[in-house]
Amino acid sequence: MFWRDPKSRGMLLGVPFIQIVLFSHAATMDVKNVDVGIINQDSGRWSAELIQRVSSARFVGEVLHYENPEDFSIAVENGDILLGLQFPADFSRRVILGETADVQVVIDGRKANSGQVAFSYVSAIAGGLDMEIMSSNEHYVRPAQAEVRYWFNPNLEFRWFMVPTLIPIVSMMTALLMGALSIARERELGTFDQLLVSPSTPLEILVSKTLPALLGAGFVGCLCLPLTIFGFDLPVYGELWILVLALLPFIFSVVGVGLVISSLANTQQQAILGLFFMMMPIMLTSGFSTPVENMPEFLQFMAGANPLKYMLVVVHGTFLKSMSAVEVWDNVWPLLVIGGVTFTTAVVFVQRRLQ
Amino acid sequence: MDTAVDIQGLNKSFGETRALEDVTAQIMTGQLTGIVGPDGAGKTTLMRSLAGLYVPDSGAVSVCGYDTLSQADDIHGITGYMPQRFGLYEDLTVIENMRLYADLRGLDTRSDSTLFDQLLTFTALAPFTGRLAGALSGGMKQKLGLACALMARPKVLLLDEPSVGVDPVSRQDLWEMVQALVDDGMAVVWCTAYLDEAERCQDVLLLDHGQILYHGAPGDLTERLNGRSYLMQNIIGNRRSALTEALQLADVCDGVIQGASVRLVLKEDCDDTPINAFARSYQATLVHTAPRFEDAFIDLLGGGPGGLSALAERMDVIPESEETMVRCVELTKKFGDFTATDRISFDVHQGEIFGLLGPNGAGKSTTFKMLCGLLKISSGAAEVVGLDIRRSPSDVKFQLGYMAQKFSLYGTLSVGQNLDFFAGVYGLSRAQRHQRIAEMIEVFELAPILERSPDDIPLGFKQRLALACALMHRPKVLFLDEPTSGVDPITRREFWTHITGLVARGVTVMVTTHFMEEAEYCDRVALVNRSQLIALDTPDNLKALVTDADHPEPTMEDAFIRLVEQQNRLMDAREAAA
Repeated sequence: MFWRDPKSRGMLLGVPFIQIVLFSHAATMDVKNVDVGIINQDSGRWSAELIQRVSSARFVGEVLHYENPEDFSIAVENGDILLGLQFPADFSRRVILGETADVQVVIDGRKANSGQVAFSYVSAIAGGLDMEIMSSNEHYVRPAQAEVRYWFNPNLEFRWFMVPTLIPIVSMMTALLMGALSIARERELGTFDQLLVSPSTPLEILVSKTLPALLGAGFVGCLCLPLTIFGFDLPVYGELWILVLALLPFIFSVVGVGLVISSLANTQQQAILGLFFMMMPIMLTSGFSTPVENMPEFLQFMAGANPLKYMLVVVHGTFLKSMSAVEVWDNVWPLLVIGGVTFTTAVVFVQRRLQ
Repeated sequence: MDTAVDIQGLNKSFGETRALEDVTAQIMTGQLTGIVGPDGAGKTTLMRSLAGLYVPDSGAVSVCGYDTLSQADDIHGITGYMPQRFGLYEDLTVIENMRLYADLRGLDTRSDSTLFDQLLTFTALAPFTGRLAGALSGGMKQKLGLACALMARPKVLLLDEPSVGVDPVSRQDLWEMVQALVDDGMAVVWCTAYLDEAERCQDVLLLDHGQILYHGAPGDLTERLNGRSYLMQNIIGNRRSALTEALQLADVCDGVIQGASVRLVLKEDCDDTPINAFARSYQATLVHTAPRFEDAFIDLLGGGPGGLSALAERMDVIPESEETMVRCVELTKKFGDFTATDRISFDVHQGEIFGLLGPNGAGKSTTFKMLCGLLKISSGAAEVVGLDIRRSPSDVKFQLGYMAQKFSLYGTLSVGQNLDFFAGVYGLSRAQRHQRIAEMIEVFELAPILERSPDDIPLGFKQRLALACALMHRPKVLFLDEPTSGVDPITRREFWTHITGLVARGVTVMVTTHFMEEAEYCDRVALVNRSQLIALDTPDNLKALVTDADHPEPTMEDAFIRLVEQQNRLMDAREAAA
């Protein structure tokens, strides 16, 4: 039925595609194209060397030079630069004398996250330079250092984290939409009464609403797989079939949420409103943007009922590490429970509306 | 009398369809002008052209001397237009809606409330100003729409089917209001599918296929039929089969059931010997009766559809049984504190057409919905085909067919898929499904439109399709919820031909309607008002109840209004005493 309507058909196929492209490029937390401001009161070699290295770093966009501190602070205020470096007049002299030479780093705190990341890059560059200077000294003894190695995502590519999450998110949107509109649409058109006077029970009606949504959203999810793997060159360490299998209970649980919304709504407009209302908490407590462990306890408790939370674990597990079927199951059975509860609730609501 | 609207050679097409063809007419001030015609005749297109909402392909319309094209702004200032569904904001209260429309018109109603007071008094909406528009009954919504359309004190008022879905009592109020406006010198245009309304207009424009077939006083058209309208009274035997047979006579142009009698219209220049002979075969007396506008309308359009239903011939005969097909015992429904239906009891026998009538919000829909299993019963009992609805709901559903007012069809499915779907919902076997669908396509002549969406097929086809879907599983009882609301007389006759045919095969029919002529088709009518059953009898007996010296020949509508008002007075007096 959805399929015969060209608008719905376009929505079903086009929207996931656009979402993947948009999300993966827009919702990036990699720090890139950082504009750096510099005030250099030093005229020696070492400040020039450090500036040279910073400018050629990949994360830096433009390097802007300022003459006086006023212009510099205005630039920070206007957001022209994210990060500023201020070299004192005695910078190079102190380096040559082997003393500690300080650079003042100014960061736009309004963009705390990117600022911090950019700062860590700059420190790394400065540290590298420092090391070179030290090692040119023959008395240098290399201090013990921690070497950091990032497992599962060695280069900390944000896209490796981001793109796989799109598979459940995009199929979730489809499932939620199809579920939420299903009954509301028929109520609005008056065909729901026609179904209710037929021998079909509310249970049968809801099953018949669930199956197409399951198929549709499953199809969309599977469509996303090759798009993400080949389009973004992602590694797949785990078993894809486990992921596809896990996708079904996930979609079932989400369709259940959609059906609950639909069973309460009288019109499609109400259903869409309900859907938006549900969307925010689902996204926020899923661990998509912030780790669930960092949330206050009651939110963590709420997240326990969030299907997306479990599915994100599974999808990251199968893409970036080789998650075993047993571990996947640990995250799949809650989905079945959520689906069962929401679906039953929808049936009860539809029955109650008959009063 | 001045010309309020001048239409000159108006043409308007939508793609291939010519909605209006060379329409030329004048509408006078201080007159009520009716625009009538079958479905798809171009009534709404004409109305919208008058309101300046359509640009004519050729020709011109001027309202009070202003051209609708070049002086559109002036037109909006002097016309009030009330479309079929007036754009009320359901989430706003009555007074907020009025304020909104006043603001849209740029009227200052806050400092001067006389206009609002007048309108509220005029529409009798004053006690309900705080109520949400969505919670108003159909009649009250129309009154509020009228109040909003009158906001600009228009010189020309355009009303597009204002009485669809409105009960006779509210309809009468609406008429009185409009009559008052006309008396004040306003030009009112009333577009309708109901011909008893057209009869009350001073001037009628009859449209068909975009052309004016007749323009003049309704009485002049009706006069042409003098001596051709007959009433067959005191029929011995089944009046419905008498009608079916009469419609097959070569000389008969049109016929309807009117209570216990059959109303027949003879073709032009035909002799009444054959129908006299026919009447004798039913031992009935044939008397001349005053022609109605509807008779003239059908005659002008070339006669009504025949009396035979191809559908009914295919239906299996349901064996006669003494069993009560529908039974209500003290049926009660409560929504919180509000009692929607209060201890309603009646029995319906096999092969009966049973009408459930009442004002908007009286509880007839609630009763209907409980019988179909769409609402739970609060107390009392209801049986369909001897099965308790509460105890075996799904068994009951196999026995009943339901046709909703809005023809609940799936617009995104094709006509063929709709048939397929409803056959599937009732769990028919594959072979049965094929056979029944093929049968429905044949008897309803659906073959040419099988691939189209129900949303864009003509109303008559839509109605046939809805009926086909409801009959797919051969129900013993058929529930019709306002089946011909807003439907023109020809489509309505075709529909009732099928229903009459089905009843002859033993199907029992339950029907709700606001349309009193439809009530005449019923064997018995239950009148519901203020949640209670106030009368239950044959249409003729109900009419007899209100017959007195002042009203020697009341219509069904008179009976309805007077019985409802009687009970209202009684209940009000009782409440005042308590």
